Amino acid sequence: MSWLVTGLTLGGLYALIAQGFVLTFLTTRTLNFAIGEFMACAAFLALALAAWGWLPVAGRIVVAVIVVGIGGAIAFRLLIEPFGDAGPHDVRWLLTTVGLSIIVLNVLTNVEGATPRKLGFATVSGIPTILGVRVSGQSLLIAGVAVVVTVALVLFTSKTSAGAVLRAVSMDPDTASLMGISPRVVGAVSYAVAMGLAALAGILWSGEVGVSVGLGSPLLVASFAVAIIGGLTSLWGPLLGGALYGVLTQFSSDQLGSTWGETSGLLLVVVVLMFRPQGLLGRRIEEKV
Amino acid sequence: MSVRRRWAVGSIAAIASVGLVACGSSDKSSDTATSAAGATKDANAPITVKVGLAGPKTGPVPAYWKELSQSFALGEQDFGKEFNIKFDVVDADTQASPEIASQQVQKLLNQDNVDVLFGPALSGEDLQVADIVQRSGRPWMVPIAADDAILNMKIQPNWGFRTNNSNNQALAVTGASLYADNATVGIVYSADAYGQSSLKALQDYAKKNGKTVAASEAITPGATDMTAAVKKLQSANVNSVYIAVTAGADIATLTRSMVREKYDPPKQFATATILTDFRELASPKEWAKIRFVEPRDLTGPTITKLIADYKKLNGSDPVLTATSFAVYTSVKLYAQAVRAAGTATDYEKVRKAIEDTKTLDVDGMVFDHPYSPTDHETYDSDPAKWYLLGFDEKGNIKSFGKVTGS
Repeated sequence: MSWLVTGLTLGGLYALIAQGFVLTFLTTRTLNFAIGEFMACAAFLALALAAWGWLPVAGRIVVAVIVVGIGGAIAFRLLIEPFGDAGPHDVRWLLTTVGLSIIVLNVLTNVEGATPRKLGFATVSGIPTILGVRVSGQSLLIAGVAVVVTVALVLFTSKTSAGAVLRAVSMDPDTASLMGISPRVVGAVSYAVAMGLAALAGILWSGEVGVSVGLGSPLLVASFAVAIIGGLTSLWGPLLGGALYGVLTQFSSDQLGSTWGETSGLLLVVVVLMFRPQGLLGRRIEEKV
Repeated sequence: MSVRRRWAVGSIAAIASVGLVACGSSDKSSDTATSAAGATKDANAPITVKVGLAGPKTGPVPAYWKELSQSFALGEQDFGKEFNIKFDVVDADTQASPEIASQQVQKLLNQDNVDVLFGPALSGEDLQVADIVQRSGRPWMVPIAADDAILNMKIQPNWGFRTNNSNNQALAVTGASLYADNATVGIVYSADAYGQSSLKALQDYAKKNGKTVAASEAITPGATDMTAAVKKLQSANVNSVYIAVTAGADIATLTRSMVREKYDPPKQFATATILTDFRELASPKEWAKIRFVEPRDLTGPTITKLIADYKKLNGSDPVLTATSFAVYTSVKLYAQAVRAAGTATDYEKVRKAIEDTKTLDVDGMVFDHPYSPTDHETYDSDPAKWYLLGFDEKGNIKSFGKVTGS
């Protein structure tokens, strides 16, 4: 039972990050492979804001999330959008986001140093018991946030006019632009929200493992895998993908040994890509010839 | 002139240019050699050494690079002055990747023409470059990596010299304590060269002493959760656990999982890698029972002086004090040998000078006749020379005395 509960809570962390991939893919058909570094930036920013004792913890988190979100929108405008505007086969943004990842990693290492630090706030220290299994309070919090965020995003896109705009761009950006909607603005907003979510995940996760330059890198592969499994075009996808990936990796670790954990998760990605390339909840994207 | 002819002429010109540049390089090398040879005429004349310093500036464990470079800088300052040697340092970032390390070391040896290589820092990287360095026939200081296989003494002459302890040595010393009172022993090791070498060392120790390893759990560096590994140890009734994990952050993830699973075995042994970032990320409860062995007393006067000098130069204390001392030792060993040889470019002479070292005195820590042609290890596995260490409530290193008396 332990692997089930632990897997579900871990899956929540991956889902929260994967939601960032889904949001940007939905509206711009691009992914930000520097997402791990945005997480690290947010954690360092939160650490810096720790000095603002007058600001409540939630306020510090919100400030860090907004700043990193704005950074995401700027990155989209300067490094992603200009390198993917020549049609669906223009994937130069892949290189620019990977390049951005390397640059941010090096800058952070030089500026902040290599030693991890404790965040000192935004931490749940308790170890609650669920179905007889002791789980990290922090991981549980992150999983809860992932669920809340997903539900909020689904409601936003289905119940609000702004959400309808997002869906319109997602389905057909060319027609949407003829209707007076700017896919560029929608893309920038999506990137802001996506990197804001990554920032939230980064801050909450750093409450568990400490603030370090390499905070996000180990989570990148798992989160990307979760996004693929759930489907890059479904907002529910990350939750399902996270749950499956988390439970499978924990089960494999439990039964076969720790090193098999990630391997089994990646094998699941291969299986999903073979039988349902658009992901379990994704929709097939068809291009007119 | 036809296009084809233009290409041919261009190609010949390019090849000729490369040839001229290559000749130029060789002339420069000869100049260096000549000047070094000239230097031998005066025993105290300054000697310039081109040093290749390779370590993981970026990647998951940049702390090792920090310690390698800053401790080298301290050694450069102290021993450059003492032996009148000027160090011309060329850095290389191995990114904690054996493949990148191999490329970088080949560049250092073949393009930068360094006289000596310090590093790389990690066992996996060193194993990858060992053959390349041995073939190059240049002195190789191994100040950090602990995998025994790095120094293959069947290869003679051997160019590698280790100033840290090896995994087998650490296990030979820790083994008796691990298995004392008929304990059930298990190991958690990182899935990298260092961890695998430690596993092998433990298995060899167990086999040699008629013992068994009840559980061996590999963990992936950077893993977010280690509950499964902890549960395996619990179900195997392991009450004496050996933690051989490269990154302190991973050890913290492990101990967090141990606390969560209420797994608190009476004997918890780690290695000095626990000094990397562990205390910054863990709580006193997690390190209360953890002990590690060291051939250096990290609370003694030599290390205390090293820490003070290091702080004066670099502005902060070393994080990995054992590593820092090992790097500092390697700089002294090499500088002393170069001065004894009177040259840095006659590599054979330098290697011989290291092997013939009568006394290596590093701020009061003295090693008598530490090396021979078949022994390039600075330390041995005599428990009487090793210290048992742990942490106090605040996370400061605490000594429990010599291993044999503890």
